[in-house]
Formats: sequence, C-alpha cells, structure tokens
Amino acid sequence: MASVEFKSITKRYDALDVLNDVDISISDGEFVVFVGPSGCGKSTLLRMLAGLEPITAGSISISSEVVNALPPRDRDIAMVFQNYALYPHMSVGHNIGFPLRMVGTPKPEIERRVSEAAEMLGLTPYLARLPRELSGGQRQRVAMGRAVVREPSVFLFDEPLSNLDASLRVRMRGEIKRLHQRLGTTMIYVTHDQIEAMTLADRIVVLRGGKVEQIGTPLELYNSPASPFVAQFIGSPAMNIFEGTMDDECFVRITETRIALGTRPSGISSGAPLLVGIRPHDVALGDPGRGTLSGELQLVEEMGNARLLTIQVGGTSVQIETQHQIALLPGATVHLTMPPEKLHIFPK
Amino acid sequence: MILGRAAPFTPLLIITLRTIAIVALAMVALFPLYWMLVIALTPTGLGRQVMTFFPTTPTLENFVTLFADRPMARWIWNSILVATLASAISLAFGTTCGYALSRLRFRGANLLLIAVLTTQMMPATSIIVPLYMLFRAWGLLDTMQGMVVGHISLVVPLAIWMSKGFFDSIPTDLESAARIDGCTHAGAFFHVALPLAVPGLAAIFIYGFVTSWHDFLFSRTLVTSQELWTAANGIASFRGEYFTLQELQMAASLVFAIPVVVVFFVMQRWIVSGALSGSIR
Repeated sequence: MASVEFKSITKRYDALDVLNDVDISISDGEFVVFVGPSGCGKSTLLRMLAGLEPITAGSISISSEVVNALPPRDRDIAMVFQNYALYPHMSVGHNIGFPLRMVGTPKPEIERRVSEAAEMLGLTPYLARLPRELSGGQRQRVAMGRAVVREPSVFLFDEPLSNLDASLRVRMRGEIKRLHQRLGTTMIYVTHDQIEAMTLADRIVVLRGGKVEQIGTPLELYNSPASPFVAQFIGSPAMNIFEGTMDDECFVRITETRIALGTRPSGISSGAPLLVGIRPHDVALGDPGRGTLSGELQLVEEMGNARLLTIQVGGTSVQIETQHQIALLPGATVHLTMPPEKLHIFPK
Repeated sequence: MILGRAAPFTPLLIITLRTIAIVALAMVALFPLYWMLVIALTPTGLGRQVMTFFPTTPTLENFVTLFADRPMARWIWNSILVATLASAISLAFGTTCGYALSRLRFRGANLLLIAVLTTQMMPATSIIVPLYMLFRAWGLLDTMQGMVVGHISLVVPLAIWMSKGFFDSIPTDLESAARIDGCTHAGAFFHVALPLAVPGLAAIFIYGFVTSWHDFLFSRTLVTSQELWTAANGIASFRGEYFTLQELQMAASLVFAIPVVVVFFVMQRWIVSGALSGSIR
C-alpha cells in the first residue's frame, strides 16, 4: 500500500496545455476517482503516474518517493486499461502470470498466485483459454487478475468498464468495490461516468480543462459543489442552473421573480449577477404566488418510480423530478417552488 | 412465393457456374506449368516436335542431365543461400526500422517514410549501373556477399513499409501493459509486439525470398563466375544464340519452382488471421 502525491503537475504537448498545475494528495488505501469530461486530462494524469507519459513540470511521488524518472516497471503499480490490453497470444493463465514471470518469480509460486487470483475472480475454468475465447466481462476480469496477482502498492484503472453493457458494468463495479474492501490497496480510478465515481470513490477529483475543479467525498461534491460545472457534472439528472442577480437584502431575482434566501451569501454584493442552482428533485410543482417561477411544460418522461418533467422557464430549460402522478399535458403552464435552503448560489 | 419455389435451384445453378468458372480459370493458369512438365519429360532434342497433350515416351533424362552434367545443384544452393540471407537480413532491417517508424514520433518521420518508398519507384534497371560502380569500388563484384547486399537493397524498402503497417495495427496499450508488468521497452517488443507481428513478418520473409529468388538482372550483372550463378542465371544459360535446350530449360524451371513452393508452405502456417483478436475490447 502507498500514498500518492501529484505536485504542481503540468503536461504540455507543443503549445497545448493538457494539465495545468495539478495538486492532488491521495492517502494510503484510499479509493480516489478522477472524473471529468473527455479531454479534461484525467487519463493523461493516470498515465503519467504509471510512467507511460513524461511529465512536463512538477513531481509525482509514490510512498513519498519521487518517481518522475522511474520506468513503469519500477513503480510497483498495476494498471487495468480501458481496452483490457490482454496479450492475445497467451492463455488466460499466462496473461495473469506474465508480471510474475517478468520479475523472475519461481514457477510454483507463479502457479499458486495465478490460481489464487483466478479463484478470487471466478476465472479458474478459463485458465487455458485464449482471450478471444472469452466474453467482455471475462476479459475484464482477466485484466483485473493480471493487476491483482502482482500485489502492487497502487492499482490504476483507466475507464475499465466503459466497453461493457449496462448490467455487466453494474456487476463489475461491485466487484471492483469488493476488491478494494478485500485488499485495502490504494486505487486510482478514471472515468467520465459520474455514477461510477459516486458509487466507488472514497474521494472524487473533478477535472476540467486540465485543472482540478474540486476534490471531495461524493456527498461533499453532491451537496456542496464548488462551481456550476461540478454542480451539473455530479448528480443525475443534472442540477438546474438559472441566471439571476443578487437583489438587495436576502433575495435573488430570477427572471421577474424574487426568491427569498435565508441568509445573504458571502462575497456577493447587491446587484451582482450570479448563477442559482437547484437539483431536479428539490423543485416542486406549486400554485401561482410570490416566489414561484412560471413556465411551460414541454415534456413528461415516465421513469416508473418517478417522473421527469422538462419545463421552459424564460430562456432556461428546467428539469424537475417528482414522485407524484402528473395529469398535465405538454403546453400547460406550471408553477415551480424552490425551497431557499436547497438553492446553490454561484458567483458569475 | 415465386422466389420461394425458385430458391432451391438458384444455389445449385450458382455453384455449378462458379465451379465451371474456377475449373476454366485453373486450366488457363496451370496449362503453362503442365506444358513445362510435358516438355521436361520429352527426350532431349525432341521438345519442338511434341504434338500431343501427353508425352509419348516420357523420360527423366533431362533431370538427370541437369544434376549429373550441369551444376544445377550448385546453382540451386546458391539461390537458396542468397535468397535466405537476403530475406532474413531484410526482415531484421525491416522489422526494426518499421517498429521504430511505427512507435517513435519525430520530426521528418513521414518524409523519411516517403523517401523509403521513393526508392521502390526506381526500376532496377536504372540503379544497376550505379550499383555496379559502387560494388566495383567496394570489391563486391562477383561475390556472394555482393549479390546478397544487392538483393537486400531491393527488398528492404517494402519490408520497412510492410512491417510498419503490421506494427501500426498492434495497439500500443499492449506494450504499455507489458512495461507496467515488468518489461523494458525491448522486453515489451520481444514478448508482445514481435510475437503478434509474426504473420506480417512471415509475409515479409516470403516477399523477400521470392524477390531474391526470381532476380535475374542483379545476378547476371554483379556475378560473372559460373560457380556463383544463381539458378535463374543458370536456366538462362540453356538458351544459346542459335539453339535452345528447351527440354533442359523446362526441367530446370520446374526444379527452380520447388523451393519457393516449399518456403511458401512452411511460412504459410505463420500467416494466420485474427492473431490480435481478444486483446482489446
């Protein structure tokens, strides 16, 4: 097990800054997920930790030792790739045992550890098969077996579930979580899927445009997003964001509606433009009156346990999630109430 | 419904027509080979008088003459030596250069590739004179080494292109995984990239072997001693200014074809499709 530290990491390809002054500190045994949209630099950051990409500036430490100049094989890490990267000319058993053979582990020891890893991942019946004879989920498990068998200090996962179908993804997600609970090894996981991030992580690092947007536990990010980007990225359906202004006293103005806030947000002066966010399940349909927003119902999506309504409020498309049965038809005028304590205020 | 009734006959008709077409094409392709065999089995001197499709008095005397009275075995051995060395060395060059061009990013890489390809655009006849002058200066004229070097220059450019193509098709993540799993760059090449490129390397070897085996221009120009002739050169020697030993020439041509067929069949088992399947996704 090991701690990992990224210090002022910058990555530049010619004139393009892929990562800019990134600082992340990961504790021993922690499960940290890097999440962000495509091109935000999350995979690059992971590959730099693995030693597969050179670092333009900054330093990476594993267990307090700077590893910038160490080749991948000397970093005591294991990595599961997005496309599995199984060696197609080797059987499952040879794939799993490959890292041990490369470091000269005695043959009986290799056989013991391979069969242990195969047992743990349910691969024992497939040890003699070639990767092409396996299903997607089994290949994914072989890739995990190859990582597990080394008993590394840090596990790296680069979007390992993105090629699996939805149900298999949920099952494999559970297996990865169980693996972490069982081994207690530091794991760093890259994904663009916020649900994977929320369900797996001890802490989430949200990246955007090569910079860290926010670091926190899943609930911290969900309940107290530091920016509209994090607010909209974490949580599904995404948080609604309205443009507004800070009225005098403790009111925000959205379109022509004044909504009372319990307390005045710090650092925002009267008249300042701001962004107001609210999660879809925190908005309620109500009667017309003070402090409600009016809009036109555009779409009703039935989800079984709830309904997702899309409503046009001024120039903003708003989604609300409600448990109640809806008898309204698209085109109807609806009134929205937004509890002040559920509002997230962001300076613009 | 009409289609439903007609359907059972359609595949049969297609199969029949296809079989007729394949047999006809095969006959057109194989007839020259068969005719070579007929002439080769005809007694020496009577080849021009053959009027039947089957040899009336088949004999192996031409084959015996080739190996007893003429240095055919020597010429074949020379051809095997030159073709094997030239294709093996070209393979080594092509593999390493192709791998480097596939994996390394450096300025001028594309230009270098185009320059390599440009050398293939020159007809061999246009480079034979400068090559002759170079070889004379280097003392490589009339030597086996010279012929091997000459043939390498013919094979290497395409070998580089072919091997680059094969390495491009191998995902770099496989080598990255190998490097994390404990390999050096070279280890990842030998343990992962090279075994996966074997079908491509076999194809390059066959291409190099056949190119060298069939060469006549270089061996005719760069070598003069009869004991260094390759088989292609030897076969040509049966054709004189006033008279051609047709039966011997045909017998020699048949013998000449055998090693290439053997090499192809030996290497063929390495040329398998789908070697990469299952590695990714």
